Amino acid sequence: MLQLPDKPSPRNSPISRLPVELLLSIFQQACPRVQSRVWLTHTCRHWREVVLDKADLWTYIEVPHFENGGEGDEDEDVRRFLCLLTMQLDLTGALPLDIVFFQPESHALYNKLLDVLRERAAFPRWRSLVLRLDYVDTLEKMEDALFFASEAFPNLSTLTIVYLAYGYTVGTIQQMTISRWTGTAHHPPTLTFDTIDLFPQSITSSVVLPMDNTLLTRMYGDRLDQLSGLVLPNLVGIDGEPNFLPNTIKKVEGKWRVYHPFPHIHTYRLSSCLFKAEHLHQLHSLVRLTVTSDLKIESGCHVSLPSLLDFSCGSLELEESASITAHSLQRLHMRNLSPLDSIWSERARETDKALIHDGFGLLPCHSLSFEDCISVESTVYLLKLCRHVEEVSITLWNDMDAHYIMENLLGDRTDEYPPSLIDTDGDMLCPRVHKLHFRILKYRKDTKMLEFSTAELVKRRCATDLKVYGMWTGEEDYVLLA
Amino acid sequence: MPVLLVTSDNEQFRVEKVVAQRSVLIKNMLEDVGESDQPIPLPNVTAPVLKKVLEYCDHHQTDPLPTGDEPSADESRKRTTDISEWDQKFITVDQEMLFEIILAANYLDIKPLLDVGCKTVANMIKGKSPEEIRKLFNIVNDFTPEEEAQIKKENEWAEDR
Repeated sequence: MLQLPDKPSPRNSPISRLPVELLLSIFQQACPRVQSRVWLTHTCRHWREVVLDKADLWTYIEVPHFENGGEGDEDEDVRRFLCLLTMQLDLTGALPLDIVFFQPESHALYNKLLDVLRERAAFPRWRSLVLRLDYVDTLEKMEDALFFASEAFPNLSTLTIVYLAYGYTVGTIQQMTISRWTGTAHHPPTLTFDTIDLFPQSITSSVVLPMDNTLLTRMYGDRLDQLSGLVLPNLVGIDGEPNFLPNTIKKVEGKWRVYHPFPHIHTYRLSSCLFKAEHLHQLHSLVRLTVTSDLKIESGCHVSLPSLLDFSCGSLELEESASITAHSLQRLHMRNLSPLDSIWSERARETDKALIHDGFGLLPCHSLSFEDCISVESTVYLLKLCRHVEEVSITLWNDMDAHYIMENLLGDRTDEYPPSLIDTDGDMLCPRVHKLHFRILKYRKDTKMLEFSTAELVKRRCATDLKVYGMWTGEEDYVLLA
Repeated sequence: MPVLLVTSDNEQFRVEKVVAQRSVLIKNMLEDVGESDQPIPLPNVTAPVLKKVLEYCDHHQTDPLPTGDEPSADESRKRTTDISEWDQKFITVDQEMLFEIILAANYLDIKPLLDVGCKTVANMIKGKSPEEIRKLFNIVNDFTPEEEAQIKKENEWAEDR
């Protein structure tokens, strides 16, 4: 008789044998973040019941830093956050709450958030608050900050305010907050009040800012592992980057950029990042790493990111005998730094070199995306290495570049760049790719050639149902080429 | 002095006391019965699983025993999903065995082994979508249409993992 494979059912799943307390312990380790816990509840009914019933999994609330200020009713990030907030407030019943609150730039949003919390009588439940004012541009918001030091929060036991060192505000908040409570019946007897002044007036370009593990632990305490991502105060004084450092300071080396002090953080979003050989670089917890500017790995430094799924960076520099690997990587995104950073810029040249460096081990299994930041030769080289990739998106200078890549995909061109590639010649480039996007930035030299090679490629790759899309400068969306 | 352990499938294991006592359950039993040749029955553990568990206990026999009164250290251990190289190799088994080891470690009260097992499963879950998790653990999607509708709504705002 034909033996049918087992159908999945809760009974024949070995994990279903675990008692609830072990499942919860695993969930807490796998998903320290509230958002990822929501995803767990979408797996099956049993998991949903287990996770939703455990109210204290939801008591940490992070009012995030809305990048665009959260202006307007249509803001998608705000809408999403409010849904999550409402869910958390409902699930936690009367339990005490630990809050990290990034003061919104928009007053309307600030009021809206407070209204949601007020409606659900949440204020008396606040047990601890980290108030981040270091992203607030105007100092009027200090007035708002005082609200959190009012009798509306009778059970607040820890209040930590992180703010900027504008000369005339140093100490003001502390004094005003204390005076607010002094002499009132509502003065919480156990309140620990801490203000963290990130930027002393005396700072000079040679000072290494004390942004290390100790300070961050002081800011977030035990809740550090639950942050949705590490939004660090912006310490880099690169020209053109909106920041609050005096203009005279061009570069500040923050210790936190040099190593990864948080074994449990999932997401890093950094402006620039430097790995040095003397630090440990086994970063097991990291799932997403976004470096909006430069990532540099010094000579002799080996960075291993075994859990990393998403990686995005502007420029990459790998010094001699350095390496970076991420064996689970799914998505690689090399972004264009700025219109001034063409493929001939110094940073682009370093990135180009890094991608063909022996130590480059960021080979995604799902998608590969290049904005106009590396040469077509390096692009082809990487396409050869990424044999499992399914989606490719490339921004190119002109359609001749696209045609060049097409020829390589077709296997009609055998380049010898770089020499180490010779071993893999003869293999089909990206045999599993089923979605290919070209964005052509400048010229439209010879559309026919590209159209022809696209049609030919799609014909030859019929087994993978390949679709090729193109977008030329001035156009708003991709169109199906073949 | 060696200790005799008997598994649920009636297999006998003679092991050194120092190895067997990595299990708090066995340690307590031994203390209760005193010096005795009596075999210790382990009705919740099969022979292949006990063999694996004893391999772990043997390798870690000289490690300091967790005292239970170090909450902060324990907490930090719980939070990190790092696993040592030997433990990683040891726990590279099929899923059936992995969960049996976890259950055995829980029953026998071997905290460090339980930690290794739970961390391994946590690492398997980390960063995966519900669909990927279901596929990985052979879990059936048993939501009702009403629940599915609710989940679809939640998906709209819980996109970011």
